[in-house]
Amino acid sequence: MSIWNYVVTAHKPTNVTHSCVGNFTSPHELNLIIAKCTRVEIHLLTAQGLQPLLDVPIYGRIATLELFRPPGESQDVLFISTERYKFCVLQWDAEATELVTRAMGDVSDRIGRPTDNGQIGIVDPDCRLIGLHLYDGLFKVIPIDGKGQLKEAFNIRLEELQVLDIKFLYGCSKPTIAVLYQDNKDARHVKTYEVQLKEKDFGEGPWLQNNLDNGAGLLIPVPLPLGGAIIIGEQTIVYYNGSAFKAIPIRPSITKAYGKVDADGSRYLLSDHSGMLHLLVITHDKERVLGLKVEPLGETSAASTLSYLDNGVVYVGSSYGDSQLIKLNSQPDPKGSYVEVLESFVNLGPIVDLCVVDLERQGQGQVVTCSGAFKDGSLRIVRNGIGINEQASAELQDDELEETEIAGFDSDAQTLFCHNAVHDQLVQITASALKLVDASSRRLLNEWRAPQGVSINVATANASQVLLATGGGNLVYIEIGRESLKELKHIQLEYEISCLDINPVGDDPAHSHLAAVGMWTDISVRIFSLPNLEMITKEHLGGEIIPRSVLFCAFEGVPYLLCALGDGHLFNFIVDISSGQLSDRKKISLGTQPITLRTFRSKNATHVFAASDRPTVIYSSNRKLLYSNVNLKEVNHMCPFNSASFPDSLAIGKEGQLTIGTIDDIQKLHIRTVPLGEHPRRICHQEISRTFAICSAKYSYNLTSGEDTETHFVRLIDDQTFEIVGSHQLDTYENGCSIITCSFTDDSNIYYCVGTAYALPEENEPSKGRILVFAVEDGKLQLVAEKETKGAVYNLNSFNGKLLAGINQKIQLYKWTLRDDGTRELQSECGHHGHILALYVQSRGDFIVVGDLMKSISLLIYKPEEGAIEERARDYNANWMTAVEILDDDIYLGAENSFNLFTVRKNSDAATDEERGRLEVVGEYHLGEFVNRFRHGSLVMCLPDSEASQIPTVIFGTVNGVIGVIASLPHEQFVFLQKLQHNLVKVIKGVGGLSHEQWRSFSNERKTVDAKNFLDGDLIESFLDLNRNRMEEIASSMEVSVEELCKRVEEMTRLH
Amino acid sequence: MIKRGKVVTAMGSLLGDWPSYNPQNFSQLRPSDPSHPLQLSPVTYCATHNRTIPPPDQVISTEVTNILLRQFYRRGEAKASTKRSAVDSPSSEHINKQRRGACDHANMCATDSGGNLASGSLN
Repeated sequence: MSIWNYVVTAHKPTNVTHSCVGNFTSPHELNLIIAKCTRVEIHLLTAQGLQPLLDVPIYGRIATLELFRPPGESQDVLFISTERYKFCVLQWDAEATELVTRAMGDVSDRIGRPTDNGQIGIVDPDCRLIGLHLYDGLFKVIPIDGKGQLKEAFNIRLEELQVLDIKFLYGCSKPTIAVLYQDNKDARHVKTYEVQLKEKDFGEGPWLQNNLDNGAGLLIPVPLPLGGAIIIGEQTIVYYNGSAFKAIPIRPSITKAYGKVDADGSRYLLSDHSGMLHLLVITHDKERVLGLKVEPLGETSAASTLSYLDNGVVYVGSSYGDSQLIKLNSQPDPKGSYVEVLESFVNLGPIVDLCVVDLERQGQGQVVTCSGAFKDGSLRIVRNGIGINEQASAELQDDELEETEIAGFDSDAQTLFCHNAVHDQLVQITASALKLVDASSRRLLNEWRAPQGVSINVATANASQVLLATGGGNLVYIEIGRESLKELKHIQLEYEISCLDINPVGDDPAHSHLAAVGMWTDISVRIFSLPNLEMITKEHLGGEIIPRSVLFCAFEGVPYLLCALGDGHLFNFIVDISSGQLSDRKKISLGTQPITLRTFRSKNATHVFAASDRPTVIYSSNRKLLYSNVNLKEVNHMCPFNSASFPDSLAIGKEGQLTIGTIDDIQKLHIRTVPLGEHPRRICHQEISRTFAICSAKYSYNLTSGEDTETHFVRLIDDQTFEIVGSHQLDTYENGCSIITCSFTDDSNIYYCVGTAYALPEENEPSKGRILVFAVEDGKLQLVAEKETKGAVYNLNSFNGKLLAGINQKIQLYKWTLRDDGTRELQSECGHHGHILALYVQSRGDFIVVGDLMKSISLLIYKPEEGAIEERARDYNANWMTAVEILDDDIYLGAENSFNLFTVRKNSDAATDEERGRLEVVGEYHLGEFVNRFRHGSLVMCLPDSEASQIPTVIFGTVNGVIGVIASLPHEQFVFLQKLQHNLVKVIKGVGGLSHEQWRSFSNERKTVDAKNFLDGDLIESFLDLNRNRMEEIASSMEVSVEELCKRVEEMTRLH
Repeated sequence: MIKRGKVVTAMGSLLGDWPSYNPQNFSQLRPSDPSHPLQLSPVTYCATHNRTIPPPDQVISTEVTNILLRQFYRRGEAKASTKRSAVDSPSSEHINKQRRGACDHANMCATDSGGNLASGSLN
């Protein structure tokens, strides 16, 4: 039963909705603050660029974000309001490095119609009040007193019902707002009001301006000395201050964002819907405005927010493409652009569709998303783990790689260990001897031989030291000098030695004063001091599996001891370098086979390669160890390899093969971008032809007609190169709505089926569409059949060798029939009416689950004998659906447009027909994200015997660019984690005093109820970020050990 | 600002003289390859301290009296203050009483989600 679900973010939101600049972390530091829907990021401006400081999760969807400076203070504070009517004022305490809540509250009203054009939250420039427009006809005021304290809020009646924008004007003796609104004749005007705090009412404002541009949508208040406001329209830009009126025409465009450049408001940056950046200049003589000027600067991602930072550098926050850091140059580049992109930042949003594929056929899913919008559209290939890009393989006859012989080495014996040593020397350790060789002449310089009849079993070395074990628990310590090998110490331990390490983690990179020794029999790892080989500590590992590899390494300056067992488990400890003591023991499972550990460096950081049946890179981020799997099957050995032909590479030994490769950037999720320059809307993968097919829309500006045009395509894309190899242009007004790959009964071919709709400008709902059936022949799309439909084909499913389509309010089943002439056609078999719009359909066996536009989920059944589709049950809630998926035979998952998730259960065992006809709501949860697609699958490698791979998962993609995972847990595990979540809420507080319980409560216009049968994986996994004391606090109240708790949470992190 | 006081015409002069808060900022930034967008991952903030709860007087809520009633009281208060100079107690007490009643009623309306303006205004 998939009732108990765990929801976790694999990729955080990247859609930038708001940004602002100010002195937040210190009076002398300039910060860029970015809102990404449910997260706030704080950056510091430095000489090197933007330095990310913090990523702050907020228990709400951020509706407005503003910095302001309370009277008499030297630092800015941050005002945030959320879509569910909470607000908070945050202040940075630099000493404690904490975000402190100065004020918070609830600004909801019992009665009120939420605004259509989004919530507005503004702060008076003289800091006398915060203004909010949340409901039509109401303006809410939170007064601020002279000490920066907030007072009880009150509402003022606002006559204008269709408000487009509200801003505070500068330099008014009483706080004054300008309201841009539309009247009931669709004309647009600006009106100003004084806010009378004492009377709690509006007074008449200084000016008004009627009959503006029909597309006027944005107000920019101009600071003193000029004052007044700029009104941005689609065809004109107007400046007005009550006396002076200036207007200029512009090329038709929709301005989406503005950013003030000069403190006196002389220049502004404007970005339009197509990402054109303009500079708006007010020419003035310091008192009077003389005119306006608009100059195009160049193209960026379509901006949702613009923040001028410093020295001509601007942050472009985008919802539709990658956000960017740009520099404004005074001279144009060869293409005439004054904009230079310095950096761009990944944004997957909006994800409108995705598919999960195993492109490298290794049992690991990759997500391919349709990301971005309009010109910024792209495909993104999101893969968990780190890629090794093969450069050469020693099986091949390669000119660049040939065998070389070292005369001083014993080439007849098996080498146990080989290493570069001080003074340009090499050491080779075989079962019988340790050889020291000159690296340039390759001549043998010195030799240490094991006593007669004794062989060396295990050995390790660094640049100046050698530690080796001979049978019977003998441990020998040797130091390497110039042409010398000096045996300094020899001890005998009670058991055989299984592994050794003397990798230096202290200050001296060539010398270690600690040795780690893994033991047979008592299954322990011991730390010895060097050179006298005195035991410092002994850690029993438990169990019967011997340690196979030990390794000292320092991650981000923190020294660790890693110890890998023969069964794929790995222990890690923190090492106290001076005392040699071990602490913070943790255990995780990496694979099932013995692991060999080895360090390597990439981009100036140390990482560890764990070679095994499931090769893993261990690295550290924000002082937390992370494990990322590598896209290779089985690796026996790895070592860093750096030569002229293969700089910064790794040499990887697999069964009978040596591979040289470079490694991807070390991060958990690897994202590759395939820019399309058009908007991909649906995607599907076809295994047999090794292609993707997408439905996409290309937008272009027609110079002759002066109109924006859109053309829709079905594109065929190679799944290795991601090149477009074939295209089919759809008819005028025809949109691609759905795409699947499928086969039919009595036909061995595999086709792409595309559902379309004719979106005619005069129709509210499409009344015509098509189903197109394509074969892939010679890598091209061949249209083999088409069928006209009476509406939009919102979805398609391969269904028992037939094709199931959701067409407007109907579910329709088509069979694939053979005509007399040998061609095929789709023939309608049966259907089912009774939906508003059958937008999302999934099927399983004969069951069909429909997600309706506004009637939640219903369950249909196909009766093959009767050739009919009938309704079996439905959920009677009025949820407006955005995605559905079948978790198992009885449980169905839905996402709705108020950012909630829910599950319903089929009641097949119920006593009455009435109950059987009702889908019971069993799980409810507020995700805070608009889900566009669920897909079964996993981002991680599925190992047959790992616990995690027994957990079924669904991946989802959202408008904000989130990729998330919903894992259906066994009941016992759910209960355990639920208890952990309950305990964590008491320790991890909501920033701004916002409540976790309220945030996760299912809430839409009709009801708000507590979350049930869903767990917040993001909160649960943040357990691993807690310090040891907090962990212990929680572990003791859960009555389990910290180690056990860490292990169980780390298991969950390995689901994504 | 004085420099910009001149009416600027050429593009170059519009695009120069960018405001500078700290001339060092971005001075050593080397542009990265635009075809490889960055995945920045700042430290995730985890609040375990007790100052996420603001001081008690800074938990803000909205005044419960609805706008119409507020206008009535204001009008009433205005009247009262004009009359106050003549005889004091009876009339002002009367107003106070009325206000208390209305307040209770407003509260009732607020708790009852169906509470509406019409019934409030009839009172």
